[in-house]
Order: sequence, then structure tokens, then C-alpha cells
Amino acid sequence: MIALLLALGTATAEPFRLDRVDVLSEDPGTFWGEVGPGLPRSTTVTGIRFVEQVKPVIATPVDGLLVGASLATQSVYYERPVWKGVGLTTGIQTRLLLPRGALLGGHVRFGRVRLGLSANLLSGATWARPDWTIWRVTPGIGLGVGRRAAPW
Amino acid sequence: MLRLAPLLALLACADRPTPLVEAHRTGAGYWPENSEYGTEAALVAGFDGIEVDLVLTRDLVPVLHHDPAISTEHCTTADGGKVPKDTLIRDLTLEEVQEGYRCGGVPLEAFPQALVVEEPILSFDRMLELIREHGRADTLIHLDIKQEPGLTLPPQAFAEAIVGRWVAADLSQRVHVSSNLPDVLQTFRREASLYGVSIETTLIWPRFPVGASTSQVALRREGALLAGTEDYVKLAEASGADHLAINWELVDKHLAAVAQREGVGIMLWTPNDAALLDKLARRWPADVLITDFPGELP
Repeated sequence: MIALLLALGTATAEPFRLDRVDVLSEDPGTFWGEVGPGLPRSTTVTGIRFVEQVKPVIATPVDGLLVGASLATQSVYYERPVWKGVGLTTGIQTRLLLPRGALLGGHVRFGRVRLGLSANLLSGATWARPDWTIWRVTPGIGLGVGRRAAPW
Repeated sequence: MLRLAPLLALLACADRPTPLVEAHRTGAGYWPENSEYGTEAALVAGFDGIEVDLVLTRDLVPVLHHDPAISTEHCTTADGGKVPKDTLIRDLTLEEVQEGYRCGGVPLEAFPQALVVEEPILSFDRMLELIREHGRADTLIHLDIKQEPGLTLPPQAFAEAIVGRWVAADLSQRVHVSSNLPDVLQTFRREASLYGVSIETTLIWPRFPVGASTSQVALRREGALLAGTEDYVKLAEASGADHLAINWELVDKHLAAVAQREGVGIMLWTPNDAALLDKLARRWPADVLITDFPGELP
């Protein structure tokens, strides 16, 4: 897939551009529920879990297609505008490139701030146990910062 | 006859609104940990479960103590002196342990509100008597085996001493054995099978070896979870454990929920805040909460 994106990038001569940095990443979207208020974990654990999920998101030369990578997940998104700054998002999530889940949601942009709300379909698959029989749906709240790179 | 009711069936009970709550080290937030006073008080209080730590003396008698060495923080010598560092229990007989040292008489910084009661180190035999005298039939007895390579006697000695005593006591309570070493759990299951009984086992995660840096251990385990090379279901399967006891601060909630749905009992240690306990009980995938303050959850 990366090779395909690179090939497309070369063909269209459109560069890859930083779209945003998700300070709160919608996928896995578990930070708020696991380390958020009311859960007095140590500062160290909270800090590590936070850093793990911070995700730079890059717009690819393919219209609406973005890729993002944090320590926790690496994802491919497809975003389409609906009305003004409002859009829809779908995505596939991996962990170290092991397919792990998918996301469906909406987002809104206010200048450089992007807010997202989505439902994550998360499997229990890990490299130690690549098993996709159990799935959970978890809410994802995203907060990203950056100037939108997409033309729309 | 040892009656080991399938804990898993109880843990998996779908309509149970809250997890079981175990008194960690007999309830270290209220009274001296692993003590006779604490054991009796916890049993009388009627907590869902009571967790104790077991170490073996040189003459193969299990005693309640958290570390392979007599604690320099919790204990003194019988005459009130400082306990020499690295006084290993495996090098002492029961008589030497009980006559030479007193524990629980030192106020603790971590639990300033806890009662201070000085006692000899409690033997497992006496604990079994206390369970017979004060235990409810449905009290969960959790034996955490503190076998530590190089610092204690080997797993087989622990298994023979503890399973044999439990069987002989013929108590009705449910029991499960935990360790952070899969070998220990396997040895206990094998020993129990010699008596014709099965025993439920719990793998404690992560393992903090004696003397190791907790930060380094935690970071390594976090890295392994991130890389996906460590997985709760896999850990339980590989160790043959029925349950996983996971440090609540390090637990990955999603992986714990997946493991629970795969039939692995999930225990979380050691949340101590009342509001936190309530939240974990209501919203987290937990079958058992192990806490120093078991009376705080309504």
C-alpha cells in the first residue's frame, strides 16, 4: 500500500503534506476512557499512554486519503466533506501493521482545530495472537491541530 | 476432601453487578498485612475474598509474609531491634521466625490510618484454623505464592507444603493460587492432581522481580503490549492459568475486555481509592478487585 501511495505521489506530482497532529487520536480512542479523569494513574503512566497515541496525520496525493501513525496505531483514513467544515471519516487501524480495527465517524474543522467523533470497531488481534473473533465497539473522540491539507 | 468450586463459573456470572472484592494482604489499609489480627478481622468483616502471601521456612512450614526476607519495614527483632537486611526466611525454622521477630508493630507511611499491632509472623496452619473459625463458606481464599528463584525454596517444596495442608484442612472455601511465575502455577496444579483435586490458578502480571526497577519493568511490559508481542489471552494460555491478576495502572482495558470475553478471569490490583474502586467495579472488565481497602466499595 505504501508503494502504491508513493507511486501515486510520483505520478500526480502532488506532495505528501502534514494535515494535522491528533493530540487526542480517535483510534484507538481509548486514552480518555483508560487514563482520563477519575482514574488516578501515575503521571508517568498517564504521560506514556498519552504520548503513545499522539498521531501525525499526512494527506496523500490521493484526494481524501490520509495516513496517520502513532506508537499505538497506524491508520489509513478516507475523509469526505459534507458541508462547510464538516466531513465524514472512515479508516482502517493497524498496530505495527497488523490489521486491528476500523473507524467510522464525523469531524468538524474550526480553523486549525479538528474535532472528530467516531465509533471504533476494535478486534482483540495482536501479533502474539492474531485472532479476529472478538470485537468491541468503543467511542473515539479526536482533537487534532493543523491546517487542512486537502483541497476541499 | 478439597472442594474447589469453579471460580470461573462464579466470575463469569453475567448478572453479577459488581466484581468480587478481595482484601489485599488481609486488608493492609486497615491493619498489619498478612497478620493474625488482620486475617481474623478480614474474615469476621466478611469481605468477598482474602489474599495472603506465603513464604516457606527452612523446615518447610508456610508462613504469611510478602518478601523472601523478613521485612525491615514492617518487622523488628523480638527485642525491638532492627531486622538485619536479607534475613531470608528459607534459612530460618518456624520457631526461629516466630520467636526471633515481630511484625506489624511499626507504623507505616503508606497506611498511617492502619492499626499497629505487633505479632509473631503468622503460620499458614494458624490461618487455616482462623478460616475454620471465622470464614464464611463463600469467602474466596487467595494464596499468593512468593516463590522467588535464588531467594526461597523451590516451587515443589511450596506446592507440597501448601496443597497438602489445604487438603488436610478440608475447608469448604474456594481457593485459588497465584504467582508471577508460570512454573509455580504448573507445580501447584500437578501437586493438586496427586490428591485428585483441581486447583484454580492465577498468573500475576507483570512480574516485578525482587530488587528490579519497577519503572523499567513497567516500560518493558508497555512496550511489549504496544508491539503486540504480549497478549493477556496468550499469557493465560501459555501459563495454564484460569485468571490473570493485572496491575491496574498498567492494564490495557481493551485487551483485558477481550481476555475476559475469552473466559480468562480478570483481577485488578491494587486500586485503593473509593471512587476509583467504584468506577472500576462498574465500568471496567474486572471479575475481582484486590485492594487494601476492601470495605470502601458499597
